[in-house]
Formats: sequence, structure tokens, C-alpha cells
Amino acid sequence: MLRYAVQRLLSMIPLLVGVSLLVFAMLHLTPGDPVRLTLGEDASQEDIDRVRRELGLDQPLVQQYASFLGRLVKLDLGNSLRSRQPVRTELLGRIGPSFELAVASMAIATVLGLAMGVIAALRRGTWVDTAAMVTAVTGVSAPTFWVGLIFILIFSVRLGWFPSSGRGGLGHLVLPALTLGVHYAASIARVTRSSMLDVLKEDYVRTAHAKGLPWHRVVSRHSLRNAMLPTVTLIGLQIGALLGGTVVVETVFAWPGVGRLAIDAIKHRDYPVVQASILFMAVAFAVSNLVVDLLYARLDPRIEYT
Amino acid sequence: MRKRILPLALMLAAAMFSLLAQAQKELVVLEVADFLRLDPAFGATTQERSVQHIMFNSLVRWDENLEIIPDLATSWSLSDDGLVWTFQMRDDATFWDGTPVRPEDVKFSIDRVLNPDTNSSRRSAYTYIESVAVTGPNTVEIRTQAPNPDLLHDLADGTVDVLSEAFVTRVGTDFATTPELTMGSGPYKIVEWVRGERAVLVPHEGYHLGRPNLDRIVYRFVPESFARVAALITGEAHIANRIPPEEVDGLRQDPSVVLLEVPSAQLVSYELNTAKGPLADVRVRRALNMAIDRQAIIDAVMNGLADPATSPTGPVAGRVEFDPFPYDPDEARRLLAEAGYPDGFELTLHTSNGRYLKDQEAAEAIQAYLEAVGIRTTVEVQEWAVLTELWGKDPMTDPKQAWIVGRSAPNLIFNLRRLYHTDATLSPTAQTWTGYNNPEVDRLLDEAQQTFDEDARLALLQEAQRVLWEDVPFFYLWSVRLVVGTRDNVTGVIVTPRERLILNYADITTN
Repeated sequence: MLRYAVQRLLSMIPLLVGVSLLVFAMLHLTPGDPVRLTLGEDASQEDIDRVRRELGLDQPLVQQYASFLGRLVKLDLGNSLRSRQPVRTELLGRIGPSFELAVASMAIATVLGLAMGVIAALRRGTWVDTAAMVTAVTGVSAPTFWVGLIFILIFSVRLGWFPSSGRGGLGHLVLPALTLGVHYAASIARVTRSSMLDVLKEDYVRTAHAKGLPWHRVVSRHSLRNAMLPTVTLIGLQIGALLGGTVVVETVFAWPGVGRLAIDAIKHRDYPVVQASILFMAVAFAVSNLVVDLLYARLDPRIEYT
Repeated sequence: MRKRILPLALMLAAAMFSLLAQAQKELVVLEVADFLRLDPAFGATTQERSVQHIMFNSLVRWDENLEIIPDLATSWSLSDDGLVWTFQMRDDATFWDGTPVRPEDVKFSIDRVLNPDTNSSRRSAYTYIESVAVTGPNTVEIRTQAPNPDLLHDLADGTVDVLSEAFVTRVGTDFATTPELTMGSGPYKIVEWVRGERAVLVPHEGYHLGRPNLDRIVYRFVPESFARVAALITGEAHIANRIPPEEVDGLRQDPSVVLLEVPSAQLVSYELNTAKGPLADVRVRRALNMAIDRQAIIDAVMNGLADPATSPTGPVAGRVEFDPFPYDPDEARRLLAEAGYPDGFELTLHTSNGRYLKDQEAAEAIQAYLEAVGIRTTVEVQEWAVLTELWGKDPMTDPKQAWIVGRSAPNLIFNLRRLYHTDATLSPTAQTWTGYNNPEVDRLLDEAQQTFDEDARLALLQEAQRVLWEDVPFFYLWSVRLVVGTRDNVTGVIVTPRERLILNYADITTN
């Protein structure tokens, strides 16, 4: 298992090189001059040229990419073109908040989604099922920026329960986490419901009932555990995506996460910051995928990694 | 007995604590975006300039009408040849660490911007300064290569704010990258800066004008406009910058919110390619400017929060205000026919989406007006990064282009020259490469540049504006009004036409 994990981690290296090359190429193919953007409407050409030289943007592209890779090997991500701060510092400052938000949202999404999915499966065809699935479809279709604004309106402006935006205490986390949580809960609920329905039809579930096991044990030990595999996959993928930042929700709630850092950097063609944040997103996604695969082995002893 | 004393003491402590907490005057300000750099030689966004205004001092500053007022300088005089400015400085100003602000620091700060190795992004605006010399215990002299009455405005702009020579020399290029590496002499000093999240400032106790009013200023960076409005309504924030027009009516109903409305010095126009093709003909440009009903567009898409253009420059001292262009589609059609385009022509409007207030919505309205007089208009909505590329495109290659730009004018001659003088308009390396060429405008601007008599100079600049308004090099739109929301217990907030939020005199009243 350890060997498998190490193998998978090593196989990420070509993936990351590929991602960095793709991002580099796309950035330089997109029109827009970072120097002109940073210096603004009033800059003179003399200033523009000088700053371009200083930042090494006058070098041939191949050379720029080579020196980027060379630094990357030493884990040096370069300096932001706009703030001139080390990209590492800028990125590290954003990972914490992104992580906080991802964990809180997934906790909400998992609890809410599993509960809705299990209840809907157990009460299949009743109004409870219909209500749960209508809620799920609504949750997954409503755009998060809209849900976020509605939450601000209700819970901050009208009720005054939670702060409307920004990061600070636990209270600040509630609304953005709830917005994302409700959104992701919807797909978890749907997947859980359908795999629960499959499992409930299995012979061993009927046997468990016949043995006279209490109802809650049949549901939790015999059915849910076996129905979890697709749900775990889904949650793993969602965490990967959430860690990479959720631009829309971060913007609505002024949450200082990786997504906002990346979007601001893209807008201003801050090449090193874009590179670094996209690489981080790729790593986050790949690692959470790996964790999911390893979890499979625990959930289903038939799966073995060698 | 002891049993009774303890809760009593606790209650007393709690009461005192809440009193203390109340006495703390903390002002929470919501800005649209984070600061990137706090070093005045670099940071030049409106929010950076705003926070620099309370962290640093300069020889002179602007007041709310962009008139020059003293700051560290108590008085100044100019030599007869117009080349040497002598500033008398106050002797009681200190940096946050208690060291005095000396004329040597002034010289150091200006020299630092002029030094190419510093890589100041604003260097070229100051290269007309020949030298800076300390000529007395509180006297500093600035010599310019040619007479330049705009020196005072350039000093007020912020780039050459006075820094501590000792401190900056010690920390080098890391200056102002973190609160610990920042040193100013202004009324508030920065103590915390979490990028993307917030910055916190506390009073400079030894400030030469006395301790400022507030105990803490907290800047928070909130990009979403509705989130700013929500925080202002709930009282989480005291000041919210850039209130969007659609929220203004609602906030006016709220008795606990006061809206400050300030006409911006930024003139929003479509700059035109006038090198050749239809737009090279003044009749076509006039037709363009007459084809739209500015006030109707302003009312419809901006909730009335803009003023139609009345001058070839934004609101700035010395500008002449003309009558706004009449909305006259019949005359526009007639002018087009007279210029040889009875069936109109094709025009592309390149607009940003959100860079300027309601830019895209306005472009769509303008398109409808232009179509009505026969100008077949395409609206291209582009990312700002892509739009800036158009500034450097040869006007001879594709003449039927117009692109949106808001240019603000720190001072009259600077603005007129960079927009309309052939030094700029015919230069591939300038930011306004439009191909516009009017020898009369060149002559008037050149003469004004060399004229030191304030009245004679103003007369030349006003004549240049008259010529320009006749010749309409751009498709002029409007100047927007910046709306800043404050809680009703906040006083002393100044918003300048340069869109800077000045908090030096801000206070919170307790009612």
C-alpha cells in the first residue's frame, strides 16, 4: 500500500510539469501586458520598458519557462509581478483560509447530503423522498453567488445572526460554508440515495433483517457502509475542487482564499502567481484523489493495492 | 460575605470592560481591493494612495477641491527665473519611531524616486526635477530643468511622500512590504496587514498636529458590492467605498447611513483612431458626439450618477466648461452625409466590463443610438488586460476603432498634453496613440508649457480647450460620481475627485 502511494505521488511529477507547461503557454498566448496593467493609464514607455527588463519579461519565452522550472525544482516560485512579494508567501497565506472553508463546507455537505440521501432511499416514493430530491435539485442548480447573496440578506441584514463578509471568528465562516455546503450536499444526497437503493435490495440486507438485527444497525452497518463507495469518491473529488478555491463564494464573502488570489492574478496577468496557484490546485486535486483511492481499501477489503 | 463580593466584583469588572470597549473608537472601512504595495514610490491605486495619505506626509497636499495646501512645508517661494523652489519646513514633525523629519529626508525621498535603480513605476513623471538640495536647517530647494508650475501637484500626488532616510536605507528594497518594515510620519501607523483580508492602523501618538481622533482604523477588502452594502447596513462597517448606483436609492431611505457623492476627476470617453478613415473627418466626430442622449443613458443605466462631458478634460482646476453636446440625430445624419457617409460606416466600440461604472450597459445603449443615425456599430466587450493592448496599436492599420478609457487629470496641462499633443498621439510608445494631429493645439500647449505667468498660461490652456471642443478628437461620454457610504456617526471623511478616501480628520461621534 505504501509502495502504491509513493508510486502515485511520483507519477504526479509529469502531471505537474504538463500542467505548468499548459498554463505557461496559455498565459503567454492570451493578450494583455502585465507591465502596462500594473503601471496603469499614466505610465510612460520608458517606465514600462524598464520594469519589463527588471522582471525578465523581455527574455525569450523558452528561457522564461526554463528559468521558471529551474526555480520550481528548488521550490522557489518567484515573486509576484504586482506586489513583488515572494509568491510562496502570498500562496501560503491563502491556503489556510481555503482549507478552513473547504473542511467546513464539506462537513456541512456530508452530514446534510448523507442524511437526505439515506432518508430519501428509506422512504422511497413517499413525499419525504420527493421533498429531499426537489431540495437536492434546487441546491445543485441554484448558482452559489445567488444563494450567498440571499443568505447575506436573510442571516446578516434581516436577522443579524452572522457577519456578512470577511474572515475572523467562527461566525464569519458560517455563511460561506453553508452556501457551499448546501450546494455540494445536493449531489451527495442524490448519489447516496441511488446507491442506498441498490444496496437495500441485496440479499445480505434481507438476511440482516431476518436475523432480527435492530433497524438502525441494518441501515448503518450493513447498508450505508456498503453504499458509501460512490459517495466517498464524490466527496474526495469535491474536496479537491474546494481546496483549489471557490472563486465565486470567496468573492461574495470577501474570503481570502486561493481562488480569489488566482482570479486576481489572471486579471492582471501576474504570471508567477497564476502558475503557482494553478499548480497548487492540481496538487490538491491529485492528492485528494489519491486519498480517496486509499480509502477504498479500507471501505472494501476486496480492493488491494500492490 | 465573600460569596457576595465575588459576583459583585465580576459585574463591576464587566461594566468597566464594556465602558472601555465603548470608548475605543474603531473605524472599519471597506475597500474594493487589497493594497499591493504601500511604498509611495510604487503603490498608486486609489486605495493605496488613500492609506498612504494617513501613513505619510509630503511637503504639500491637495484639499478636497484639489487645491494645494501646506503639509510638512509651512511656506514656499519661487525664484524669478521659475526654476528654483524653496520650501520652509516645520521642525516638529517626527516619524513613528520618534526621529525628526528633516529636509535631508525630503531630498532622499525625491532622489530615491529619480534613481533608476529604485525602479519606481512613476519615475518618468518626475524626471524634470534637476536636483534637490538641503540649504538650511529647515529649508529644502528643488531645481527644475525648465519652469514647471505643476511641481506642487506632483509633490502632492503621493509618489514622493517623505520617507525616513535612516529607516529606508536600513531595510532596503523590502521597505513597506510588511508593517514592521514600514515607517512614516503620518497620523496613523500600520500594525497589521493580512493580504487579501485586512489592514489595521493605530494612532501615531507623537503626531505633530496632535494625536488623531480614532483608536483604530481597520481596512477590510470586500470585492462584492452588495456585501459592502450589507456590512454598512448592519453596522459591521462604518465606511463602504464604491456604492453601486442600484443600491443608492435603498441606502438613501436608511436613516443610519449617509452617502457622500463626489464628482470624479476621471473623464470617461471612447478614444478614437483619427489617423485616417471616417473618424479623421471632424464632421463625422461631431456627428458621433451628437448622436447619443447622454443624460438619458446616465439616468437609465447609472441611476443619474454621472454628469455629461462638458470639456475635453475631466474636472480639474482651470478647465473650461462648455455646453454639453446636444442630442440631435437629424443633425448627426446631415453631418455624416456632408462628410460623404450618407449610408453611415462601420465602427467597433471596445468596452470593458466593470472597469468603469456600468461601461458595458452604456455601450449597448450607445450602440442603439448610433445605429439610429446609420453608424453600424459592433460592441466588443473585452477584459481590461486586452483593452490596454489597443493603446499601443498603430492607428493607421485599423482606423474604425474606438476604445473606452477613463483618464483622470491631476493637473490641466499634463492631461491636455498626454491626450492631444502630437508628442503623445503620434508616438507608438505613448499610452494615447490615436493619430490625432492638430498643429494649433500643439502650438498652444507648447507655449503654455513655457509660460510662467499664471494668467497668461491659463489663457493659453483655455484657448486650447476651445479649439479641442470644436475639433472633438474623442467620443466624449461623462464623469461619474463616486458614492461612498458612511454610518451617520462618522464625521470628517473627505473623498477627493481623485477618488481618494482621506481619513486624517475622521472621527466617530458617540450619541
